[in-house]
Amino acid sequence: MIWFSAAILLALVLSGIYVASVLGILAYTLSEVFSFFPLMPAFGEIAWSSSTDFVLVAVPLFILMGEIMLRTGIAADMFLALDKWVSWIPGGLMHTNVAASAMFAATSGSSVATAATIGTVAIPNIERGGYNPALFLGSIAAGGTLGILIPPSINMILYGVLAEQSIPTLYLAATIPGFTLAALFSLFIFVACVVKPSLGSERRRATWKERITTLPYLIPPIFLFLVVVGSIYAGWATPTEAASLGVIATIGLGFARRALNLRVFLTAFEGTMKTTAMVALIVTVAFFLNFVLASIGVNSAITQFMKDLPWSPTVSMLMIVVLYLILGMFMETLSLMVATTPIVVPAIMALGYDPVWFGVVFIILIEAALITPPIGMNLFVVQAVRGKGPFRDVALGSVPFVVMMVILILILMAFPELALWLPAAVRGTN
Amino acid sequence: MKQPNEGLIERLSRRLSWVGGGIILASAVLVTFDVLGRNLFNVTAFESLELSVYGYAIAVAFSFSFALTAKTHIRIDVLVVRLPVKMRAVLDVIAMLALFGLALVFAWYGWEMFRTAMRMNARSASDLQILLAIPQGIWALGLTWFAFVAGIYSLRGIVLLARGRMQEVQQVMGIEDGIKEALEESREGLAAAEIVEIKQ
Repeated sequence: MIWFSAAILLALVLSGIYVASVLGILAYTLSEVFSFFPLMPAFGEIAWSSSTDFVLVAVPLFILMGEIMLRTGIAADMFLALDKWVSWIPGGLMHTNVAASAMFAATSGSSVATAATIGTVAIPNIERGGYNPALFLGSIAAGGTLGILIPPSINMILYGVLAEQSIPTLYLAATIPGFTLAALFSLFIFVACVVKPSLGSERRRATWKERITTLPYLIPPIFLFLVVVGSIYAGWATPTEAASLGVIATIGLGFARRALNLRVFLTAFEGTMKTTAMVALIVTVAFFLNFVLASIGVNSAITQFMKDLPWSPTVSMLMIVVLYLILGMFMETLSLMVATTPIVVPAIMALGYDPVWFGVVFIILIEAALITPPIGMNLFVVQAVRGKGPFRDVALGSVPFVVMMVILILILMAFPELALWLPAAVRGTN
Repeated sequence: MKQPNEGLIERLSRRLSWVGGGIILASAVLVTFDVLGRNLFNVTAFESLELSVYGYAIAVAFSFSFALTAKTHIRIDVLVVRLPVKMRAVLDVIAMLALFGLALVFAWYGWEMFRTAMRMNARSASDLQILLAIPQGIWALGLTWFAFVAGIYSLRGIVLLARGRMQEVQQVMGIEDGIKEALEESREGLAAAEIVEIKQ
């Protein structure tokens, strides 16, 4: 049954059929072949309930917030202000790339937007500062992926909904690993530039006066972070409510900066609904597939299969990690995530792993997928912003950052507390 | 935002996405009021939770077609982009037919939900006691519009194939990369930034 599904999936996916249709055809075929009673009649009920899930309303809200924020110029200001603070470290502007990405990630949920924005501001400085292009470009592409790990993350919402896990818990679990990953990125840049100074530029030290005068530019992102993530952690708002607060706060900032008009709103609406509709179509069908898989017993087959494996759970987990690294080279990340969550979550639970912990590992794997060639959205974006030179630079420059991601996954396997401590601590105090 | 030579279907789909975005923004406003009201004054005035989920369902249903005309719905293009134009065009049309099939399933079962709600006179469990047939009917209408657009596109694809206009198939329903757009957006944001350049 598993091989049968995998074969259908592969053939359809490779033929370039819309992913949502592929999942639909798979669900239909499986239910026709393996189910004793018709499952299709449940489609309407499942489509309606997943279309009216309050948790999923957070998706368009976060996208809308990002769309508007992008047009207010907050991100670019933040980049330049952060630069004054971190540029003295060996590796210079590359640390700014990482720090700005991490900070932008902490307010919005999109990695492509992050990479595009930071890239446009930073890339002209490669030649001016005499940086090694590959490492510099890699830091932007990799920094951009932090957006889906550091809360609020849209990908985490989708994982949480499909794996039936609490979003606030997942957000808490992702916080420490998220900032650890940013720190690992910076650490690598630091070490590389100390060992081989030609990779970086000469060091620039901003004066304290410069640093202080640019501080106000950091207020908007910190304010948004407090509104969105703070209100969730404080228990005042659910993620969807926090996203609403974020939208309103961002619009307020936008008006204060005179960056908003009707045209900006309509363009933001188009971008929001286009992406939301794309996500919703896949997620709705994935819910139905989820239902079919459970009904025909695939889930219990997977559970049994995982339990019967002759090696230890750790080995199985490592195999899952390797499998996703390989799949991530070729697959579009959203489909990879949504299509495989229903299968992989029962599998890892059978191995005895915590689905919250796995959510963090899974998202890191998805981050890696964004920057592993030949198909890696962030690589394409950064190369497109750069507009010249070989694509190889971006791809090669991202490799060390993928290594950092793998190291973080290994750390998480050795010390699950890195992810699970914060949710437990917060639960303890509430 | 402005598109030259946009057909009626494309323009209508775009306008519907504006309506959808407006609904989402309105939901954000209502939800914000309710969060503030709950935390500050201990009142929930707007039943924003229920209204926003109906709004979301309807906004999304009516935006499926825009994601189609704007080529946002995801296809895996690893193999397809390496094929000769003719093969690509054929696969584009097959993909569109498969999307049409899926859209029909959505619309069919959407109306099924509506019929059931009508028959049972079902109301929501909240204080609002909304007649479920109302949001479900609008939702089904949106899904039907999606199926209609996918149907028209399938038909258009078949006609173009039959006439051997392979390039056009690709223009209308081929795979587009989303990169150009991301760049456009970031540029707008930069134009709005207050500091413009880094001093090296």
